[in-house]
Amino acid sequence: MKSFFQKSFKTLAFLVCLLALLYLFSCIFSFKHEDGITTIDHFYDLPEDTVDVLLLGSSHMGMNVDPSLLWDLRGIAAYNCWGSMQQPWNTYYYLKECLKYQQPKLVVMDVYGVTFSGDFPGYDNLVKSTQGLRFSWDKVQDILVSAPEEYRSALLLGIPTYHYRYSEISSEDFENFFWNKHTGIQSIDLTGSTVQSFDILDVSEMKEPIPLAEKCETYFLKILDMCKENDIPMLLVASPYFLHEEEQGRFNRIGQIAEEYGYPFLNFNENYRDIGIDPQKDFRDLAHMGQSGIDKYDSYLADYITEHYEIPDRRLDPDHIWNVEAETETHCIYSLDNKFYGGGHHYIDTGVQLYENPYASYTLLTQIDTECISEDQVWFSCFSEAGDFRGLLLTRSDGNLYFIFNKSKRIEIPDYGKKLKLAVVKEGLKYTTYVDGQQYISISVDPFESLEDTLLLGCQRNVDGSRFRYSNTEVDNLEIYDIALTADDIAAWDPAQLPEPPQRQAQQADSDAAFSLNQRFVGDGFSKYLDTGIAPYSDPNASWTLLTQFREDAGQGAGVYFSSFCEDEADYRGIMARKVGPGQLNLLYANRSIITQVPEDSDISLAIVKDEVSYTIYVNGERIVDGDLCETNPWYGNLLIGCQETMDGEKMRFSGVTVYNLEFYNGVMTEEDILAWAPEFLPEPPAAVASPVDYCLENPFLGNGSSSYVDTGIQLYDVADKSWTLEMKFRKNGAQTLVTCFAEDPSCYRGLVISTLDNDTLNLTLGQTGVQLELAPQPEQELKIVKDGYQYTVYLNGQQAWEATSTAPEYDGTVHIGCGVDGTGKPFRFSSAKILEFRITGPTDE
Amino acid sequence: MLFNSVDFLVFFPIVTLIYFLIPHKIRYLWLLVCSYYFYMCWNAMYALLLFASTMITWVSGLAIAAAAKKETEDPTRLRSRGIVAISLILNLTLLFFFKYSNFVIENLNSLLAYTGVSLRVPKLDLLLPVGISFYIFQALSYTIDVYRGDVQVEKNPLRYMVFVSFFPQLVAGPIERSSRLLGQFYEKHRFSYDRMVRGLMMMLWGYFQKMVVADRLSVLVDQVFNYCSYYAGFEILVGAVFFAFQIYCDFAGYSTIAIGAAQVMGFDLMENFRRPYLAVSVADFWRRWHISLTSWFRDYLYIPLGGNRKGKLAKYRNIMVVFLSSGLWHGANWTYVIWGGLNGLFQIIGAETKKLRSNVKSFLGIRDNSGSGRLLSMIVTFLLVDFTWIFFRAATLEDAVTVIRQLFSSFNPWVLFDGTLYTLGLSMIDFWVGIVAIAAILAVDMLHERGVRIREWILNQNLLFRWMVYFIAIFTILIFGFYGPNYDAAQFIYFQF
Repeated sequence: MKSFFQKSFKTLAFLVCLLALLYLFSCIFSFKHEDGITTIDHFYDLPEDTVDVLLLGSSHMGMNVDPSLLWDLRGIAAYNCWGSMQQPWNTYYYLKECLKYQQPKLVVMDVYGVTFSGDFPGYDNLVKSTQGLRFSWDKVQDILVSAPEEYRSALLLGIPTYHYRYSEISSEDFENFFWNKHTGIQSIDLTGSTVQSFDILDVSEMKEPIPLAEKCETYFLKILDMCKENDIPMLLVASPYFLHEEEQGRFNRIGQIAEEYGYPFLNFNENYRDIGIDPQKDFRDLAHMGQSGIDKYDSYLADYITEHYEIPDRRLDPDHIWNVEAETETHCIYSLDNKFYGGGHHYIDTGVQLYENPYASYTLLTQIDTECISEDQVWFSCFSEAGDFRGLLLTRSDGNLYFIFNKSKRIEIPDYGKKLKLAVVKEGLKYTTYVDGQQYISISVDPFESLEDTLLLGCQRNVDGSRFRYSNTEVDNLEIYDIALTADDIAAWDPAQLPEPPQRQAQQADSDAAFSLNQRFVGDGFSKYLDTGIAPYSDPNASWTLLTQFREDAGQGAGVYFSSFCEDEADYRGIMARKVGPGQLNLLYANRSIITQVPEDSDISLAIVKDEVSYTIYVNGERIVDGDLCETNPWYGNLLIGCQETMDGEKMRFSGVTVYNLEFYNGVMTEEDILAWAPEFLPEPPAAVASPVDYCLENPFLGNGSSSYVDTGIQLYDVADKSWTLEMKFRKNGAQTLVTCFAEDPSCYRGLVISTLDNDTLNLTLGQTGVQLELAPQPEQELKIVKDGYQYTVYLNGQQAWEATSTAPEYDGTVHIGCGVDGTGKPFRFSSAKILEFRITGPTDE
Repeated sequence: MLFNSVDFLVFFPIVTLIYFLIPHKIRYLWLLVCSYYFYMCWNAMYALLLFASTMITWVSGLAIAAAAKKETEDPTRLRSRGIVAISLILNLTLLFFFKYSNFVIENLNSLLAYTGVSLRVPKLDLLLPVGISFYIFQALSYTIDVYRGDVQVEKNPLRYMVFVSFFPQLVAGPIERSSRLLGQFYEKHRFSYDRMVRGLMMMLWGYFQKMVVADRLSVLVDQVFNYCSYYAGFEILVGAVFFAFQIYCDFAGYSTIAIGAAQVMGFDLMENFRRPYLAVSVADFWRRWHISLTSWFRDYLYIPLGGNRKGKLAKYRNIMVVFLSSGLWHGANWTYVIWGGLNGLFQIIGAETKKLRSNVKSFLGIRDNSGSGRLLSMIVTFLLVDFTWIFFRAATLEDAVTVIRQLFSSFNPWVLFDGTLYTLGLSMIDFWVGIVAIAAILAVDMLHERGVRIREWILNQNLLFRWMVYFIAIFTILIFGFYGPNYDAAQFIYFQF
């Protein structure tokens, strides 16, 4: 017997553990669909007597009626127990379940679901409309009435429907245990929604009722009966959508039934225009409204509900959970740490989006110093400068101080002293202002679009996101709350004396330069440049000083002295100095461009000082730009001397400039130091020593067209103006590459190519020029090329055949016989050339 | 009613509970009612077929017993033989009619079309009764055993009906012999906690094999075999290897659940699979695979045909007869016949090349009794068997040929690494769960092969560890099993045979 009890106990304990694990498993793995499951699941978490208005229906209810908005507008404590494609029988069991836990004072039902065909809505919707319910006989009934037989057992057990979710488990799935309470007020997430335009069917002439599906009508009547039995008033609504004629007929039938029961039925498909809904602008899809539509629709419903039913304003009930949460959680979302003094380019971005939800409540408490130097000044702003001018702005103009709200509705602030305590309380679309703790003027504004901008102190934000109207204003204190504080709270607000802001010090220039040119830069206008390795705009707010001396005469090329400049047509930015005409120096900084006149063919001294976003520029000791405020986006290109680069980093606009000196310091150098900066010009780079030129081919070269070649090792262009003489004798053999010393550089092809196009034509490339010469009839040809500096003279079979000048830059490749050399230095284009004699020598007089 | 259905999870505990609560004398009646209910959940009408086969064999048993009394002086036992023949003919006619008539008609029509005759025989509108091959073979074994005197004739028709219809093994075996099972319905089974735990552990292992392994692998297998012309090389190879484990885990899973369920109630069913993929030859494989059917064919066909006693040729003929019959038993399709034929052929080739293989191994220095030698034999055997599974799985001969052609059409080992395998119906996580599960199956088989009794080992651990093992097993099945509306409920493959 002892063994029996032991084993029974063991079995029982095992089953208890198994059930506990099954519970944890189901908490984690079960679906958390927000369109049907969490709506009822989170409902169970609400304390008793929380919900005054119960919202029921399909997505037409869930995606169009926002309880947080009803709360903000009228203090209506509403809960939306909706489900995607919720069928009337699901609505019935949801209602039945809800009434077990709450005693709503009103049930609002969107009746779109009642117009359904009564058929099986699909497995996914079945899951959504049954799996959120707690296990009870009603849940069993809901499943039996909803699901085809094949799904019933799975839905009843639950696990078969969701066990496969192991690959999609996220942190959200671990917030569903019995100790996790979801008691917050619901709101609609419109992330990523766009506007869909369409026309709603004109139903004004459609008055004939069409019978409802039998099952739908049965459960619709059950819903109405249940509300009657429980003495709960009911409001039936049909939100506007892209409806069909037949559905309107069914709405007509619903209207008849509602009338029989004495419940009002608001079919907004008939009168959506009356509440300002525009199907061209206010919808995100054919069935659901966007924010603007929701604002109008919910605003109307909130008004209708408060006017026709005795629904208390729960915002006044301090014990209501949504108020308790408001009090217990910290609702101060921003408070100023130090006094704010505007001036120059100074501002503070609070990061607070006041109008992310245009119906959300907030309270702004501030104390300002009303004195400011000039008119048209801003203390703070969260205001759109787009056409509809919406948001909040505290400004002074024409000697008066104004709060500016939507559509330029403004409240002038009366007589005030030096220090002024102000408050703005926003509740829905109503603003109440307070001056020195006393309630002043209240205004209401029309519904408006949300605004993503943040509240700024000391300036405003422009349409393109940039800041402007920097103001020399002072804010002594500022607190922002995401709830509407009461008049008592505001009267009691005693702003603390905030500390002075730390004095701003410009970042002093380092004693050592971050970059310093160590040798005069002399560009060639072809390929020569110098990369300093410094990216001055990687942080657009960085402070730095650039000092340079250069020759105004830019020589060959594009005339770029230095640059770190982004060539984005939509957003040119960075820094650059270049010559655009005789004596015309073009300076580009941030996104500004100026041209200044300098003496032609002279030595120029230039200093650019960037103090965060303030630029001061000196040319030849004269300050030509003084503290110009100019913000810009980052640019990660390096400071280059003698060229520019494209957005892809490809170098371009090589310039034959002479830069004597260039120093780059992190930090701001004083004017005194800048004016005193006059270093000796750096020495010219040592002239390149030309390598010796003396080569003679020992044996005739007979190319095999596939691999044979001769690398002579002789550099013809290691110094650009190198002089040499090339003599060769070759046998004609059709089109062949004979001799090359050529740079395959797409940005600057240059060098020597000797080839035959056929037995009659010799093709020469010399420097960056070329010519085709007619060959003599005999099979063997003699060619002599004399280069003297940049001057080429060509002799063919003893006769001078051509003469040209080409100032191609240097190239370090060697002369190859019987092939070319590609960009990576590998031989290619092997030929079957027959070179009988070949010789290169130094300068010659011939 | 499937073992992996909610219905069975309700049915089985109730049946078991009541079985142990009611008096011993009427327990077999309770099992009879439950077994017929179990069978009728598929198609009530086909219970008549089960009943008919049962009655034919029961009456034939009585008749043989009666005839035997009069045949004491007659060594030819003509009368008894006649009764056995009648029972065989009637039962096989039932089997033939329901299982093979459309196959014959199809082939007849093909032949007629080939010879240019325009006549077409219409096909019959028949649904294959679940498990018909199993229970008819089980019933026939009774007739033959009575004739041979291996078993006492059962006079109680109801008790005999339970023997044929015993629900755990009714629709997919093991095909029990009357000599083993019939007597167990007389035994008084007391409830045993330990036996129940052992039985439930067996069932859990069976569910793991079926729901986690077989049904998971079937997704990839179906994709590859149903669209074989789109895949090639290693994709087909992976599909074929997965099918080998699918069919094993599907069938062995069912048998394991059946054995476990019977064990919970106190019945001992025969082992049906003994680590088949650890076999070192095709003949060895068949000593381990579907043992109850193989032994049935051995006892009632191979040995009566002469077995291996009448020379090598006769032995090979008998092997081919047995394996072609086995192929046909599995299904009315030429693919099964070829599958059976190949298995027979491999065994004959194996026997004929035994000396040659031994010489080659000796030359290569491979010792049969070494670990690596055995592993090599196992791999070769697996590949041979897996090759035959291609015919078993393919819907038609053309499909089988396509699969084989595609298998050798491309050498593309990179598909094993470049993510291609995750596009064959199983996501990456499901694929790897499948691989881990296969590894678990092989690991357990290897431990069993080495004589480790895993169940006993677990039962000897402390309670905490035991329970952890149980919970892990339960939740592995619950989480990783393929069941519920998001998956197509896969029938046990062997139900169709």
